[in-house]
Amino acid sequence: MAVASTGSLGRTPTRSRPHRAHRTLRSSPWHALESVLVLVGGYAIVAAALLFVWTRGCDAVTAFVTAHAATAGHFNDRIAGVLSVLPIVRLAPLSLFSALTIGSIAAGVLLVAALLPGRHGPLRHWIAANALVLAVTGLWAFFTGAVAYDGASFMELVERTSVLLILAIPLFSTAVTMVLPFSLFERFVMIVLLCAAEIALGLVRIAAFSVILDRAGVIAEPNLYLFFGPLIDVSYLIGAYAIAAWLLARRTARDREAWAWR
Amino acid sequence: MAVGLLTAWLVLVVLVMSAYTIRHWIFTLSRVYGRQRSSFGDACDDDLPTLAVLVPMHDEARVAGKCLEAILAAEYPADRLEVLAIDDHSRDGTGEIVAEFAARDRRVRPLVLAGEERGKAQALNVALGYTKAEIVLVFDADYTPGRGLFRSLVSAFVDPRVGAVMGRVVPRNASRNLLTHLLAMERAGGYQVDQQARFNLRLLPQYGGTVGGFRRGVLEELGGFDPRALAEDTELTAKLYRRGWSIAYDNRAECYEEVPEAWSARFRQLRRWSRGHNRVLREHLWGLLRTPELSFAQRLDAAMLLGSYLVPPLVIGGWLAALALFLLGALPVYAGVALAFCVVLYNAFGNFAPVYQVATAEVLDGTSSRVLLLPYLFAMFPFNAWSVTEGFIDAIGDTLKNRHARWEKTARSEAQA
Repeated sequence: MAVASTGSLGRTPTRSRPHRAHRTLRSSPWHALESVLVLVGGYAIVAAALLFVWTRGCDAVTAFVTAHAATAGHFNDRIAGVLSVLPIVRLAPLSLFSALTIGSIAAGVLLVAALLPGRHGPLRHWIAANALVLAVTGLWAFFTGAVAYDGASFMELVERTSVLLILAIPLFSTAVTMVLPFSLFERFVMIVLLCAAEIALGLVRIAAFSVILDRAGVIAEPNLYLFFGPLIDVSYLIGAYAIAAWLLARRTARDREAWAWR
Repeated sequence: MAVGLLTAWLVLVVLVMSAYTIRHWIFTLSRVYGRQRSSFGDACDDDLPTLAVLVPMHDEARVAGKCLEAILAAEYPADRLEVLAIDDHSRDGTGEIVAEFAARDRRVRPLVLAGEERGKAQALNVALGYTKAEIVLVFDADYTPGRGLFRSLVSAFVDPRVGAVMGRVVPRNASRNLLTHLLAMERAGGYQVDQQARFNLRLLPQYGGTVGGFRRGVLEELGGFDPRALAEDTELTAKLYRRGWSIAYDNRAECYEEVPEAWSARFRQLRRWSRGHNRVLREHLWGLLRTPELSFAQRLDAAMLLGSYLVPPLVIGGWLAALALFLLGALPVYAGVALAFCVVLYNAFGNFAPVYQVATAEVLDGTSSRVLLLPYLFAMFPFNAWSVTEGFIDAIGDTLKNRHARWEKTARSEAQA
């Protein structure tokens, strides 16, 4: 078999947009260096946000929870040099009968979900996963008489999770924006917005979890944390990234100079 | 003791997921900014090899006509092309469609399988006995090749080291519903970025079972397809690399497929893939790791490629460990956060494309608005993880009971054109 040419790509400059199979993107020669700057600058932003915004937010949330739920007071938690004031939720006493009831209902839901024919949508699996956690928790509580976290330690777990997520934002943001040609300004804006939103979400969650636990009791803890905790936060970071990627995609689709032949 | 073991398991899960995250991040950088490697471009008509196109069909009346029409319209010298349309125990009129095409065009050779055991691998083995063509391409019946596809794929065999070639799969029913949109995104990430990057980096691109082909002589040398295999494509990939052959990827060779439109069909498809893939892992991982022709990076890639359907059960195990640690009051905060990142970054288990890889593929493809669906991929996590885990459990059962897996066809929904 003879070869007429070794490829139709060539390196000839062109005004047209290459076929999608051959597209690559132009980036600044300083893109990698900029990433270091984004990482370092991002951590400076995050440190300032934690020290000056997060701590004040925790004060406000503690005041709110004290006014709206039966709390046993508040306590101080220090993580990564950040000192926050958090509410101690007074948890409803654990009734073994209610633990068994909740566990049985959840097990029933799980069984029904498993037996439903041909309904394999993701929603069914989310329901099943939540029911599984609830069932296990109910049975655990019934046999051991307790779920491990008390009001203070659960709040500490929730707050520390938020702080860690905020600390992960610069690393996450730098990594995922490095693979696409975002400008330096866009990359910093993304970190600031993600940080602001994560602080807001984290504070709302501390308040919401306090009120829910105050009403529902300790048995709701695993579902609150494992499904409405870091998982929701991270998926929402992905949402923000999706919007940024969408804006970039629209721009590159318009601007033919964005494409490179390699 | 229990807390220590559960924590160690959780840390292991996070480390494995981190390794995959880094791997795909490197792939994405290579695809976006690196020099793109292409297989050989054009071959002169006089030098094109004889080509057999194999189309195994079991109850494919809804799509068979469209597929055969597209194959016959493709550009390839008529005297060097034969189309083996394999009617594999169909009962829905596929045979009549095949016969009609055979009567209309000399290039179509109908093969009717009735007595032998049913299954794609078995059908391909039988068909291979009826052709002497140098190169064999395989297409599923729900695929529609573009006009230049055969020439494009075949030209990769100019390189004598290439034993097989793979083209890009593009869903043609992507806009049908949410599931098809999500599968289109997953495919884009898997081919536009993942396969091309592995080809760029001289790692191990995968032969995908359709929209691809191989040298007939090489397959004969390997003993044909294993009829017990549910993932005969992955098995061929492993066998080729173990014998020192390479696989080329041609990103320009696009073929259009119908992805499942129903969640139940997708669930069964993923479960079957997982079952077949894990069998290949068991049979070929050790051999690949000991193949002297492969570099260290290639061996690592082989392990991660074959291990990809092990990750969902691993992550489910991680979640159960997290639940147990929570109930014991010993859940490490860092592990909870890291696990959440892992889950969300790894949602598309079919082609294993993390969100940044999918976003990059969508930007390169120019399908801008679909990228907004990225968060929905996260919603597929328990669905994907569970279906793959069921397939993993099936594979364990197959091993323990020496069981013969039965081929199950993916349900089609498209009306015949």
